[in-house]
Amino acid sequence: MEFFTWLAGISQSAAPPGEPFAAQWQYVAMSLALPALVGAVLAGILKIIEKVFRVRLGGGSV
Amino acid sequence: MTITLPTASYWVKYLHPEIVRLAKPAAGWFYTISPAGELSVSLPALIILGLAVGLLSGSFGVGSGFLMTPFLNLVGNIPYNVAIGSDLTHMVGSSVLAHLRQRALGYVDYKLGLLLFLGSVVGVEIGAQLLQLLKYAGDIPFLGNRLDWLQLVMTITYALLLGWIGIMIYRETRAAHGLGGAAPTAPEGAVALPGSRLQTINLPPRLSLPVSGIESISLWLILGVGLASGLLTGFLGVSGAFIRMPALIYVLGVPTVVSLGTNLFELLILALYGALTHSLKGNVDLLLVMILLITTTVGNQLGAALQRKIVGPRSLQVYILIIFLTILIMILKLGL
Repeated sequence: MEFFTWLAGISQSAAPPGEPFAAQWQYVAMSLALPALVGAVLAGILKIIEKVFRVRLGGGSV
Repeated sequence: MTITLPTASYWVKYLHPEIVRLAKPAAGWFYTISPAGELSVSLPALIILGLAVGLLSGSFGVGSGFLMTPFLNLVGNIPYNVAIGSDLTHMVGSSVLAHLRQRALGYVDYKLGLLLFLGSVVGVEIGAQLLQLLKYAGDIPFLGNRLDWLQLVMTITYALLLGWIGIMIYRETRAAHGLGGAAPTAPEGAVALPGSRLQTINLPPRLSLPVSGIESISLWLILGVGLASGLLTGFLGVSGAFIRMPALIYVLGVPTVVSLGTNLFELLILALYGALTHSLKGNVDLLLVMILLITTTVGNQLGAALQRKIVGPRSLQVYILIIFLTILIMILKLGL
């Protein structure tokens, strides 16, 4: 839960009210790293499910 | 149960400054906007949306980006720029997953992929900058209401794109029925001829692509294909594979087995760049990205299982119906 609160915190503009959006560096870094990490973890989970249940799952689509 | 989306809330307040002066919360189908302008979207609605789009994508083998973005706007009133940026960032995860799952299925022409990327970067940046212009363009009177340019232009663009995709799928199903239910096939000679004809464009510099079996091709042709698909990615948040894949096969003459792997590789680095530029512009809602990534993956696997059992040319008509209903609701929303 604290992680989601932190995500919400870094998603706020670093600029004062009324100024155009200014991204915080943690927000930009997490936009690149977080989905890549979650995607890799999900691929690992699918692999484990295939091995444990001896099933063939889909390849995933974009 | 609702979830407050911080980046989407920022743009709701920016695009609709009158909202923060409301005495009571404004509520829509599956969302609420507080008097302070915070946008809260129903979590079950987002989960069902991700599962449904993933299911459609997995069962019909068609990408999900062109449906996800308008649905996010329709269901959760998420501003188009955030829907596009978040969908594109979610694509980083889905392309990592697809790359890891499908790497044994196709060869990757890394040289071609990197050259395509050079063209795509320019396209993505042009698309993202166009979106920036629309964000800051203000609003106009429309059917008795004030409507922001972003909402108007993106609704029209998505309606046209969805209409075109719907008509293309309809033609394919008609062709399949004409062939007695068999899968549609490319016209005879279509694989070799258009590719080879365009490959002869003598615009230097020319280079060879040994992995794809191409002896000599103009660099500008590759950059042009990358630019066109990148523009769609940057402006609309779609993968652009429905342009890139036919272009790789029919325009550049890349063998299908190489085009599959190269498309995934190109998409991965393209999505990373798209996520970078859209996050710098404040178009990415990280909470939304996480929800979309997990739910579409689950939906995708359900769709893949379903596809083996029931999906055929006739069930594609359901997909076409969904596409045209989406267009209708998008247009109705403009007038509300």
